[in-house]
Amino acid sequence: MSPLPPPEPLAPLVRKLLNTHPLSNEDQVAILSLPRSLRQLENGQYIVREGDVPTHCCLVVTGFAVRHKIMGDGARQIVNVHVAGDMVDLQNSLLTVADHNVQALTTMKAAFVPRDAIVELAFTRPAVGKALWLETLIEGSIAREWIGNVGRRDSVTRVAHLLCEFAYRLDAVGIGKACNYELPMTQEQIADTVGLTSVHVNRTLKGLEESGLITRSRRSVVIDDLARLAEVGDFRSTYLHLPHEPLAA
Amino acid sequence: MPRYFFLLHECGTVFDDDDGVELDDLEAARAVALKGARDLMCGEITRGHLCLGCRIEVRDVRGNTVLELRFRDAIQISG
Repeated sequence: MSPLPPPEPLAPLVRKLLNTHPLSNEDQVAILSLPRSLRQLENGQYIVREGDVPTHCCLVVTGFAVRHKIMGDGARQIVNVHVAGDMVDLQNSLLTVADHNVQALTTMKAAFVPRDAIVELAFTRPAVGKALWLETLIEGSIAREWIGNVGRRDSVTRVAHLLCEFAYRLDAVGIGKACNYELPMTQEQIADTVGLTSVHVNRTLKGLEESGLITRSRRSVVIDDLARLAEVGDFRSTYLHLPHEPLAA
Repeated sequence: MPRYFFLLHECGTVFDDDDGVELDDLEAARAVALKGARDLMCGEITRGHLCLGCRIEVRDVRGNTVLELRFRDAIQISG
């Protein structure tokens, strides 16, 4: 039941699902055989807009995407950041209207799968259905953690928490090493993620650097002391429901 | 769009801005500085301390200072 070899475009999805649920070879082949159209997206390009009636679900094959909501005054709140293997709008497989936006954060490759095909696969192959269900549950868990993060933690804790989360999530899908990864987000985008301003995020990141917890150059983040960063960030990985042992701190 | 850099002068320490933000004009930069100053002050107050002497210096891409905003000018204090 090991993952089938790439370069199948939907292979990142299989890999991701296998993190949480076993799938037979037949199940894996069925996922890889889903109808899809591949598209190259530019940084900033919209995948779904609030109010759209979606016909497809989108898988991140390479690159990064964000989900966000725009407030009445134009302020943006990023509600999740997605990496390779993530279905960015699995809820649109059953919900009829998109309730938030999904936008490419980097140049990215995306696979668009007709929603009917996903629903059919989920109902004809129970293991796939359960794995996809688990995906949405874990997303809900992450969303709950983020509510706690922006609602109840101070700026330093918020940013440290986010950096820890990326370390675990990127490591889980094999993108970069846990303590050394690319984070293609500007200060402004991080600010929109943690509910602060870019000036405040800059101050906070610099503070974490001065404390010897992280080193940043351009878009890369090096976590110099994960145990301490996790402590500062009030971070416990339980809510990510990862299959492996927590990262060695 | 021009890029502006927001340097924070905080109690003797200067926090450089390596990223900057692309904005329409200086007026938009002023709004970003104002919001940033207020946001930083909120964080300070939550921790029970506020220094009104801090300031945000806005520079253009050539490194020229185009705006300075002192924290004490970012809020109205009464009472």
